[in-house]
Amino acid sequence: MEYIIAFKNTNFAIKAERCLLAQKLLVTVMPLPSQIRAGCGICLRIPPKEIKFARDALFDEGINEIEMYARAAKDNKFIYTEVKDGSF
Amino acid sequence: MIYFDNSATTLIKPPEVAKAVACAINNFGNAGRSFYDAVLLANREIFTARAEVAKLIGLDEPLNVAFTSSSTESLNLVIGGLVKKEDSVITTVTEHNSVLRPLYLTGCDLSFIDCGDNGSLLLDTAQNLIKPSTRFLICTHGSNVTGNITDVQKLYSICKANGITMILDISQTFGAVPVDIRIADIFCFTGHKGLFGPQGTGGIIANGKFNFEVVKTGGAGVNSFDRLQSNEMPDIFEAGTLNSHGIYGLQKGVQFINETGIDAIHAKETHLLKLFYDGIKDFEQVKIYGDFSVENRLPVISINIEGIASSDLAARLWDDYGVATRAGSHCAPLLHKRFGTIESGLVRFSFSYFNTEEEIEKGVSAVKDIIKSSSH
Repeated sequence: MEYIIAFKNTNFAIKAERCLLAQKLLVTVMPLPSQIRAGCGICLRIPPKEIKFARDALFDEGINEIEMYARAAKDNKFIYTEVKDGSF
Repeated sequence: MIYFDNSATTLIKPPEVAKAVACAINNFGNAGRSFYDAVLLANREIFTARAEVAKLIGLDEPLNVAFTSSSTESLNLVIGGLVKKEDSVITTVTEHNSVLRPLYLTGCDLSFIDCGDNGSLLLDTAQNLIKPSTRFLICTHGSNVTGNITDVQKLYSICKANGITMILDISQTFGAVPVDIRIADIFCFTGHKGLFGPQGTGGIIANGKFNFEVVKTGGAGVNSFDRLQSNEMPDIFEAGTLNSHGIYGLQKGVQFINETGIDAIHAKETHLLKLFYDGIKDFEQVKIYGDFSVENRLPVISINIEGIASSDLAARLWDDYGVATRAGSHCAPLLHKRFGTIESGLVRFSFSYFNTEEEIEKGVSAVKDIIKSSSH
């Protein structure tokens, strides 16, 4: 399993990527899954062990308008479950 | 060629600028339109360009920098997105047509701050121009004709005390003198003059949140099913594919300024201006326009020589001495009207960090030669 962070627009996604890379977190960019209806066409993929640090780093940077999803493979497809209230 | 037309565009740029544009043309995808490396490269460099611009003006949030094609486009978008026909707006007689014409287009009620004989704005009159319907004050930070710098802190204090939004045209000053985010609400800039970027770049800097109406809309790469463009910075001003090639070049130009230091750039340009001014000021045939009693000014000097039309003077400078200047009205009709130079025009010499003392001396020598030959 891994986590997805989605943003309201591409500019915030790029700003977030820059912020997380500066924290030396393992972040990669991927297209926004069609199951998720955020505004932006790209999202960030984060390993489970780093998602809490990533969220905190983004909040510290003032990037608050994010959506987080757990991404898990099941029956040859990915299932996305929104994560709220920091319940990783 | 001796290039003294830097107020029109800086011709000599840091070499990194052209290298960046060439690199971008061969490597950038369409920013914001997908996720593969070429696209992300463009996205990241555009963000870095925003960050460099933000750093130069002292802004914390790079996303409050939007890119456009020019200062003219920036002013059209800001004025068109904020000013209503029923608003009253204060502006000045020193404005460029890129401020005046978008204002005329809105049909708003306009009041003008006048200037003295040396082009210095009569700022003490601003307070008296305020009406109950006055919502905006729009002015240039530095005149493209005289090189005079506006005391915008004084104007901004008046604006803040009266709930007026201040929009500053920093086309001539950004990259030439220190510009601080705290001196106005909204800033419109060009990339190809003092910032050393390529032509076709410019932008808008918002010092806070403003209720812009969307006046330019289209593909944005996000929220494709919404009928309207996002009204948030920077997306509201960035419909369509950005000039990422030019913006990457602009990033390198601004980076050069941030690394060199704006104070060092201003000091060198001021030194060059003083050399030129001292070289020609004592000739009675030369009439100089602008306030040269202050140190803080742009490296710009506009002159006329008695008995020579400005177009002829510029032509002789070019033909006989290889000195590139600009003659005419410089898109500043109200100031030329104030100076009484609608017919004659002026010849503008504008210097840059990359000019040399030797070039200045040759320029002075050329002016002297022309004065002597025209006196016979």
